[in-house]
Amino acid sequence: MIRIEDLWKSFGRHDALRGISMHIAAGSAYALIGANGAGKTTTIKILMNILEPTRGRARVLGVDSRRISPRELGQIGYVSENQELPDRLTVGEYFAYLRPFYAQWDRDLEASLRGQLRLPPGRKIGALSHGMRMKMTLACALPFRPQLLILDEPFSGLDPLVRDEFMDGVLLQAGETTILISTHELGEIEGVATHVAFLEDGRMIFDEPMEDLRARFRSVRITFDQPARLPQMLPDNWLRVSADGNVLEFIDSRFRDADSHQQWQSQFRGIRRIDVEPVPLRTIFTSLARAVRDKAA
Amino acid sequence: MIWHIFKKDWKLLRGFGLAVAVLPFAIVAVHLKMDHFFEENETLSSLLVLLEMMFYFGAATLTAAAVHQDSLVDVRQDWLARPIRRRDLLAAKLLFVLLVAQLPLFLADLAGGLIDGFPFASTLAASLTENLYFLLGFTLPILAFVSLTKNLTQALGGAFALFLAFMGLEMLIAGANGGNPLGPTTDTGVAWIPQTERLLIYLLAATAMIALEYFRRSTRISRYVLGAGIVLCALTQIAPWRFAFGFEKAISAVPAADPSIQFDPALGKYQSPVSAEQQAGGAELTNRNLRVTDAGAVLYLPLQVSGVPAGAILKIDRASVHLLAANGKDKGSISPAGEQGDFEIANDDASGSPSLTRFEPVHIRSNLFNRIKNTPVTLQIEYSATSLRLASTVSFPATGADQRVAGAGWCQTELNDEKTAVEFRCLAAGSMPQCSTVLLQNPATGAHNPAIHGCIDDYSPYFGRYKPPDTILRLGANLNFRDSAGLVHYPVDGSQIGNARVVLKSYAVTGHFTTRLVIPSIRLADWSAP
Repeated sequence: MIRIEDLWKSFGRHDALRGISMHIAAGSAYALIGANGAGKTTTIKILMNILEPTRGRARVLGVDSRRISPRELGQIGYVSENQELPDRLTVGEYFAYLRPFYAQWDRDLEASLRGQLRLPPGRKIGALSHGMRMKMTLACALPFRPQLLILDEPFSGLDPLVRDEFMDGVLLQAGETTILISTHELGEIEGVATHVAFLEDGRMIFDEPMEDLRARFRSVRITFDQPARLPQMLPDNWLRVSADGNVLEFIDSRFRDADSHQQWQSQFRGIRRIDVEPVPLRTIFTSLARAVRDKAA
Repeated sequence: MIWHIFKKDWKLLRGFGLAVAVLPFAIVAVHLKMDHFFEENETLSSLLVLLEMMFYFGAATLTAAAVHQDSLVDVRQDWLARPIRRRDLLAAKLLFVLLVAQLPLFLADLAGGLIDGFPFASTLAASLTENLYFLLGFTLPILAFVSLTKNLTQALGGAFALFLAFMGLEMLIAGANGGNPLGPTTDTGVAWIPQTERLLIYLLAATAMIALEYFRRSTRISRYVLGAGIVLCALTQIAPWRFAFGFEKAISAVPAADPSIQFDPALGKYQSPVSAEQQAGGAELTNRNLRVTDAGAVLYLPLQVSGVPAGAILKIDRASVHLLAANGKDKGSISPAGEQGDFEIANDDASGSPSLTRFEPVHIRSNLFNRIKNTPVTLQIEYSATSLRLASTVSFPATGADQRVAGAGWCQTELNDEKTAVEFRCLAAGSMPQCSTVLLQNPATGAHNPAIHGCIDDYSPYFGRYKPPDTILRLGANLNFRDSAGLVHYPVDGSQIGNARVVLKSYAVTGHFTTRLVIPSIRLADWSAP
């Protein structure tokens, strides 16, 4: 559905993207995560042919992103946090304006979405709150049943209730549509994303299925008989390492159940107990981001 | 989808669009209210100027607003992610400006011309011509420029920056042109050549910018094109005279025989005819276009001109005067930029006099004149001239005339409030005679007052001229017959005005030519103005 190869984008002397590559298979829900300024929006705008890459290439629906035509755009739903809509049109007028551009516009689905998201048809778009505007852009991106749904920071500035409504709208499409969602609100995508890619400072740190990511990150707590001491050389897969009293804590980013236990047993003496727990996506993200920044510093 | 996008823009901008669309009609209405001919109502004149400015500003901002509805330079616009064909979007924007700005202007011009009673064909042609000029010279460049901007604030800021850049260029040009930002063709009959070059530059640059923006969204390259277009436009102002007049000659008919101009010292020094001066000062054809130079001294050279057919006019478009020292060394130009030919030689003698006399004024800087005035020098004058033939002669009653005449248009006469002059005014749709002579004549005696002569100084081969805000061309003269101070006596005076007629002679261009006059060993002091 989407294939990116060695993609670079520079704005003047600043490299916003530094050779990222990734592949998004049809039917997947792909989460592009990273801090502000990591390059998520730039990547998406290149995919939508809103920006041109400096180097490398991206293919969307089998077409080079530079050559995306209305035919492809008719298959792509796009929602962005800072999308500019015609403020002086009413909600109803804008739906009426968009319909003829899409051959497969489903008016029943439109009505269902507008009802579900409670969009007031007679209100001017400029008079909508930020949350309502986001729901509006989502409602405009779904009625033509896009093959690909691209969501760029859709949760920014939304309250929890609106986020839920928004995600309910997205989930209506799940299964039928390939979804690419860029966000740093990780809690919202935990149950949706099948794949995760982590961008930091224009570089791809990892790109893997969500299951693999969850499986390889573990919060580890080792309790010793005597006061815990940090190893002289910390393994690079240990993140957020701390020693307090008899307890050594860290997040293992390459956890493999039996192998890891065996490794710790051989590495340390006097282990009284080892507790291993799954790590929430948010913790994975913050740990990785911090580690990357520390390394860069 | 073009119409669909247009409808969306119209829905958003209809109030503004209607306000702009109504302005050309308001301008026509004010013209009609002013009665065209004797526009002396200051309030309405001020209103007219205001309406014209509002129309230009309104049309520009409306074009900007239409383009900015689907801005091209921003990366956040919703339409960028929609399956909207760029060519449809561009066509919708063009359709919008054509229907909301251009069409009302065309209809108002057409309506105004028809209400004034001009023939449909000439009114239609004049309206279409003006609309085309407006499209190429205004709407299209504005559309191209605003497509490089995101909103009106940016557009106004950019326009101001362009204005400053253009002024800077003008100063550079002026610096290289002896302090004069105006080129040699300015205000002359061949000014249409650089004007046409500018229109072509507008068209090419605007087309390139629009294509780059709408199909490639290459704003940076578009800005380079804009910059190059501005520099080229500024450079057209200093198009060399030889090139422009040579081109004019090349596309014009060759005159049957070139008149000849000879220096004739036997004619003596110039004596100012006071009465004629006063007459000329009091009454000029409104289209007459003289440039006042800053020269300190004026020479009047006695010239014999032969080869001008009876009823014809020889119009000097430019006289470039050079001085040569006695040893043949070039002492440079008296007037580096050349002088606009501010004189015409008319052969009014029906019998076809073999030669005509004329004192040509040559302006010369005071410091140069004082330095060499008593030294014999060689004066070399390059004339660029135009021959005109008498095309028609029509006459009107001196008062109360209201006639439509082929070639001249719709003409009226009336006495001024002081009862000292006949006000003669003509309106024409689209085109007018190249040059005209108007005089007040008593047909019973054949006596006539000094003639007033004027040319529109435009040899363009096009039909119609761009004279916004309407397509009506205006010709007028005040023909004095009484001097309230009692100093001037007129052959046709107030007592004859009831039987007098205004005679309008119209002239058409027959060809252009250049000739050189060399006057050896002339002492400038001998020919300076008394």
